[in-house]
Amino acid sequence: MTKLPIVELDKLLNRIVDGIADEVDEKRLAEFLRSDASARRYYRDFMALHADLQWDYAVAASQKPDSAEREDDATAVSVLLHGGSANGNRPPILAYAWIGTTVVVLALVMGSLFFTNHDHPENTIVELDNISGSITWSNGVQDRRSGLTDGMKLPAGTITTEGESATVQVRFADGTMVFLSGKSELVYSDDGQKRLELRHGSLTAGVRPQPVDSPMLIRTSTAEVEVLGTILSVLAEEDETKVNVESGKVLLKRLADGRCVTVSRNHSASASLSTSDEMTSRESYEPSDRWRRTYDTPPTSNSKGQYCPPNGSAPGYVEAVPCWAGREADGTPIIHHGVTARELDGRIVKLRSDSVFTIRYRVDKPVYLRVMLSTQKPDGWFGGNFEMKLSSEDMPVDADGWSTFSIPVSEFPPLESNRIEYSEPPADGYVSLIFVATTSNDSGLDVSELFIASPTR
Amino acid sequence: MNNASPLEPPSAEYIANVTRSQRSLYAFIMTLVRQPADADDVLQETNIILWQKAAEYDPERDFMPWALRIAQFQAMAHLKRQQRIPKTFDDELVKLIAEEAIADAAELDPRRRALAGCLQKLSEPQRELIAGRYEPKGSVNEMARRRGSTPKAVSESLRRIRRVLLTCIERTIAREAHV
Repeated sequence: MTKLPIVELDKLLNRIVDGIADEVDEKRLAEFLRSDASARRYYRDFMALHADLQWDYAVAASQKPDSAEREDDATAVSVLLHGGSANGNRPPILAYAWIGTTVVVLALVMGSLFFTNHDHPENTIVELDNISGSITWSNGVQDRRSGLTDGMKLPAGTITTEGESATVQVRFADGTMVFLSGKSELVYSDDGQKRLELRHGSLTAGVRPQPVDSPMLIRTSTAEVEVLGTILSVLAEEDETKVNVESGKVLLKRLADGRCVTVSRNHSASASLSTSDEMTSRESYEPSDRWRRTYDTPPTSNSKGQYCPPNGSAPGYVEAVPCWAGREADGTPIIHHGVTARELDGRIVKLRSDSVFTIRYRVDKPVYLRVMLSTQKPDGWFGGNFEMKLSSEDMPVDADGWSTFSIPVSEFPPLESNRIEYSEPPADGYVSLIFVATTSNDSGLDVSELFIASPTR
Repeated sequence: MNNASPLEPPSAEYIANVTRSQRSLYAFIMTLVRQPADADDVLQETNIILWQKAAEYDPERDFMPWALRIAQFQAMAHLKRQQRIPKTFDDELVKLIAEEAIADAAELDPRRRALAGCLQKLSEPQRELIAGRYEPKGSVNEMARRRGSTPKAVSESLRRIRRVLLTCIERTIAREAHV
């Protein structure tokens, strides 16, 4: 009996634990487990994961107030029989699972209410603009708002953008602007000194000159940036912060050991958790006007999608994963399935007037594909999101099930048609994010190649 | 051997061992019987035997392999009663899986600890899908009905998330091994 590829074994096991396997699946699994020790190893690891998830969510449910029956059985024998309530070593995710459910319910209720501005004008410190997609605001305590609109004035708080195509511009009274895009969370305040905490995601800031003794501070989990007046972008990941300065100068401090580096115009630097990494400023990465991503090797860590390596003559690819696509009017999350492509330095490719976008993909059933390009202007500021919808049925399929589609970048319509400043992809700008998704349920979208280039160069 | 007579309650240490082992026993049993409802039943039966055999336990031996062996016998007896062995795993395969699982029992706790961190790294949509499947009474059929999808499509979405978790667990354990 030949070895079963792990991908096939994985599919088999998933059908079995989800109760949709048939007798042929069961027999096939038994045959392979008998003959292949590595398959048995994978099986044990898989079933251990399945059991742990089952256990965790059952324990979380038993902690809910309406589980009085189970709680009343808390005798010594019952502790041994049920096990769950004896194990006080509950990981944090379980508390989140129950508490988070309650918070989401409350947020949905509050989000569906009509928002009235209860804030006194003197308490507000920012004004919102360029809102696209799902944006929420909270004061970190009880006040939480969605359905935000351009022109809205808000006090200090937390702004969250949900989904790859979500954007918002936050403008302070002195004209300083902070632009959030993608999935980001920003805490902000201004008591004479602007303090920002970028919990995750990315921002671009155009900072007006600040008092020397009160620079704007941007903090992440690994770094702090002091800004006196500049245009810069900050990307906050769990264990690293990257800063790119377009104009002006900032001081980047690594929180792990307090080491600092000055980052000047057209330079970038990063601060991670590792104190052994050198902290140096280097010239900003200037991408070429030709970029291709295949999946012979894993994609960058900031790209989304489940990576599947090449297998013999079959190419490597990424599978679509669930992604936020916004919220319905009643606050219900909209989940699409997609992949994203990014480069670690922020910019993927330089755009020319005749740049052409090409994608090689496959799907399990006819579906509409969304292809979104997020762009930057030459000065680093947001250049607009542009989205094309195409029907998979219109594309011919090759013998391996793959389809290829090409279109000039200039033909991508703007995502927000009422913004004249984002009406077309910026000339000599950059693409910073590619997002490909299906609009409905998971249609088995796989992507094996992305390519942007000028055909005349 | 445990000095307690069969009529005396087990020692505090024995009870602590049993309590600490519940999750590992459940995971081991699930590997053999595969259905959560069956795993719950077998765990209960195993705990009764562990309680009854407390006096036979030798504190000089590792508790876990001893307890897993008892769980193995209960699982196989349960499968025989359910008459499922001929249809899926035969006696020989169940024994083989059990032997290898007992040999690797020490890996269960690190994997479980890694899972907690890996769950937090999932996106919110991914966590919602996992919660929908694993909360009590969750099923791909019910999830499919609510979403207007098919059980197969939902299972495929879950498959990808499970792969992400498995990969994350492996990486976390590998990273910790090198610290």
